[in-house]
Amino acid sequence: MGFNQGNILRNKPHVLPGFRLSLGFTLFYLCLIVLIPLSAVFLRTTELTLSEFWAVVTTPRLLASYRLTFGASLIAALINLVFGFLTAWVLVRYQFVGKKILDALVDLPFALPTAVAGISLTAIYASNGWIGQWLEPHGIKVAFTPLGVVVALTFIGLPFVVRTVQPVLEDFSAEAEEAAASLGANRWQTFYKVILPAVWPALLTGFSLAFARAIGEYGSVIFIAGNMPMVSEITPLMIITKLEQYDYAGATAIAVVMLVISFILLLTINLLQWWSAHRHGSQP
Amino acid sequence: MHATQSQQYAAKIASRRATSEPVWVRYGLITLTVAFLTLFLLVPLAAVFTEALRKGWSVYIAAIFEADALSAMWLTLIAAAIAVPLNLVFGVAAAWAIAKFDFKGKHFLITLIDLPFAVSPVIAGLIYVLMFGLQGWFGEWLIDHDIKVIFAVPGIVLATIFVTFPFVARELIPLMQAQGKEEEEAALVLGASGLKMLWHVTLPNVKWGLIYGVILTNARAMGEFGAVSVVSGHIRGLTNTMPLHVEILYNEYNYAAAFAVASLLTLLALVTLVLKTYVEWQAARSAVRNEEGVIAS
Amino acid sequence: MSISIQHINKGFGQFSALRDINLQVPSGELVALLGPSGCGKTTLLRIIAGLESPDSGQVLFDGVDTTHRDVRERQVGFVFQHYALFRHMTVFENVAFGLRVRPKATRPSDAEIKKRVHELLSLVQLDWLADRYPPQLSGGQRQRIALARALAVEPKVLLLDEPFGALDAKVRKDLRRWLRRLHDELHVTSVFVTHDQEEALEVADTIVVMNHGQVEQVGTPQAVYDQPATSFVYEFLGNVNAFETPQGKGFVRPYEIVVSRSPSTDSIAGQLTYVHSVGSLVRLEIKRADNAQYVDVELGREVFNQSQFAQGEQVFITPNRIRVF
Repeated sequence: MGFNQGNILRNKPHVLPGFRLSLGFTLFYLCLIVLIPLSAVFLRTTELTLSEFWAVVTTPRLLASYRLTFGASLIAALINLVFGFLTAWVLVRYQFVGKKILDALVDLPFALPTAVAGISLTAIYASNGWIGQWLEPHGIKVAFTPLGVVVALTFIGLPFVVRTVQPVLEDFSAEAEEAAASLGANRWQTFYKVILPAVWPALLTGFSLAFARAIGEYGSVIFIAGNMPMVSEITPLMIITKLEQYDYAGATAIAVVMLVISFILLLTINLLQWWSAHRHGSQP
Repeated sequence: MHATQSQQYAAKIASRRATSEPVWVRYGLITLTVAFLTLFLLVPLAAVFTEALRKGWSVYIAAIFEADALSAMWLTLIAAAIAVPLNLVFGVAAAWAIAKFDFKGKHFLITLIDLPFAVSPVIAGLIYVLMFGLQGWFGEWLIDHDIKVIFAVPGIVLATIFVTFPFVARELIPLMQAQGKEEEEAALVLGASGLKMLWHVTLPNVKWGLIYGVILTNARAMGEFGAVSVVSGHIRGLTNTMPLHVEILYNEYNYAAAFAVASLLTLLALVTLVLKTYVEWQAARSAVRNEEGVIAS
Repeated sequence: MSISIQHINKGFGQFSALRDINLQVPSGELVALLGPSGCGKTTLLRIIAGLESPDSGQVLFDGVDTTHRDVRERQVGFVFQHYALFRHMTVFENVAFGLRVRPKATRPSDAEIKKRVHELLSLVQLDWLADRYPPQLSGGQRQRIALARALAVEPKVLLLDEPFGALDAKVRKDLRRWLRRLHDELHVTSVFVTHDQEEALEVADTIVVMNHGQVEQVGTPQAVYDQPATSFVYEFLGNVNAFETPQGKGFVRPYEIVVSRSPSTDSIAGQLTYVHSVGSLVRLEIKRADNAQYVDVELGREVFNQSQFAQGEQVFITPNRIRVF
């Protein structure tokens, strides 16, 4: 028994070549580009005492930025949850003119540089913009307000829910829907008892991805936000502000807060995926 | 064959009829979706070009061929030209190790590779400032040897590599896992060397996934703003990439010029989408071909 | 409930799936729609269910026209080829689904639903699986759960699409007998689709043989096997040899041929190329001397043992029953 245990690399001969080389290079590059620089953030915070750290990351201006960043990200992700599902549904189920083009355009927020998205949305929603000029008389200001932040974050999060839900809807068997109908379920019952539970894990994943992306977003937001302290400053901007003041410790402390939250989100996404894959037992 | 195909097609149509929504619901949903996508995708797209041409073609052309704009384009191309091949090599190596071999901690490694997706671009820039900036770990050493990383091209390249880090690997890992390792083993049995096997068997099998990953990497590399913004120092003509150049022009209230340069980036995004759609189409086609091959055999 | 199908036509684009189908299914019978893939049998089943509507013609349940009635109101139980169990629901919830989606006025109480579901699960002998999810079940178990779910709505008609198609040979055989017994117990009018002649012959009261969107023959298993109405039915049900006769093409079953070492008046000379001797039947493969075609012959083991034909031997075959259509 004993000789089977121990170093897996040594005792299990690989037929294919290049395992050590490829894994070695992968780990080396990963450490060099990602792990060592990221660890710098955590190590640099240790220069602050805990109370100093707490004081830096809980100033009123920062607290306001957390509220805006997380609040706007949550709202944007919820909008994308609803409209992303709707878009995926319509693109999978219905035929209409221009569908293929719209389908391809859904990825625009991935492909368009965020700065371009930012200035374009600002131009549209400014008081003299295409849409802004119609909203302003009704007392709705979008550009340079928190509402503008929501608009920008909705834009950049748009593809996530669509692209996670679309393949699930495509693979969904028509038989299951027919079975529900033959058992007497009406269309609405079939939808929320049969279809929705099946796409729910994908919806959650897409929502989390859109939310996580929105929290870290910078380029598209700073143009439309107006960046007024206490009102429309997002947390990533606070890092930049600290850096411009050469307050490295402050910038690092905020970065740690954001990183921890992002990692928790990443973990949640992975857990959700694991849970949805294992809840119903082994997949056939 | 004809009969079964028509039957499958028939089943598809019929199932839709027995289990589809009333016409008014269908058209309502389509209208709502098209309105949403128009508002969030088409209008911003149209606005870029409208604003860019607001002051006419001559202003547009002048903004694009201005010296600082040209040097920004050059820097953007350089950053992409370095970041894309490096991440490509990394992606192939990582996918090879992960997809073809079993080892402990594989899932943890995949999570680590995905890490840059979860990090705000601003933090991506910050980490290199903490490493190579004036107060950074290597700051003094770099000054002593007269090497500039932050507020210089190397920093921009590093930040670009970071934000595009996972793209190729992410595309290749599932594809190469699905391919299995029989074909590679067959190549070895037939006497191919490791490199020959990689070049003639492995890479052709994942060709479309590879190209897909490169397209995404390139688009993100050329368009990255937040991370590059932190490390660039915004020195006109020297450390400005195209997105940063857009920002400077915009903040100087030079809107027409800002949108002119932005329109080039937008065209790049549209080309990316076209290529992406084409690659997806090709990949689907080759998948269908493989499937038919399996059935035929 | 009886089903009457009158002049049903159905096409998909250029392809005509069903042509003028007329069929009577008496109440309480178990009917098999048998035919090769693409013959229209599944389309016909789906039209009976209301999952598809015919281009013309009528479907009558107990004499009442239901052609345009929605699938939800037809009270049919449909068992899908791949079962279509709801994978995110437990076995219990799957079976309870049809009761839970009823309008409030006719929906049974939770206690009644529980009782009814457990009755059904006992009926299909899978009560112990109530809390499992479909992916955790074997193919045969899924099949029986799908049946229990279909029966939960107390259907007047039970429709099964290739009910055993996705199962391996052993399970298939067990389930076949089980379905037969279940039908004898419940006596609900049932129609199932199959491409497997053995399955149809063993399970059904009546077999409807279909080909190219048309009904070739309707009859009891014995009738369609012994008195096939067309050459298609003859060929489709069992192995067959073709002979040229003065009246045209004639068909002979492998067990309707006499083999001997000496020629007689109508015998055909040939060479015994292969002897397959396993089980109670011995199968011979004989290459005809006149046109080099192969003829399959089946002999009982005793008959074979008496003559002990050897591979390569010269033999003479005489068909003792030729059917010409």
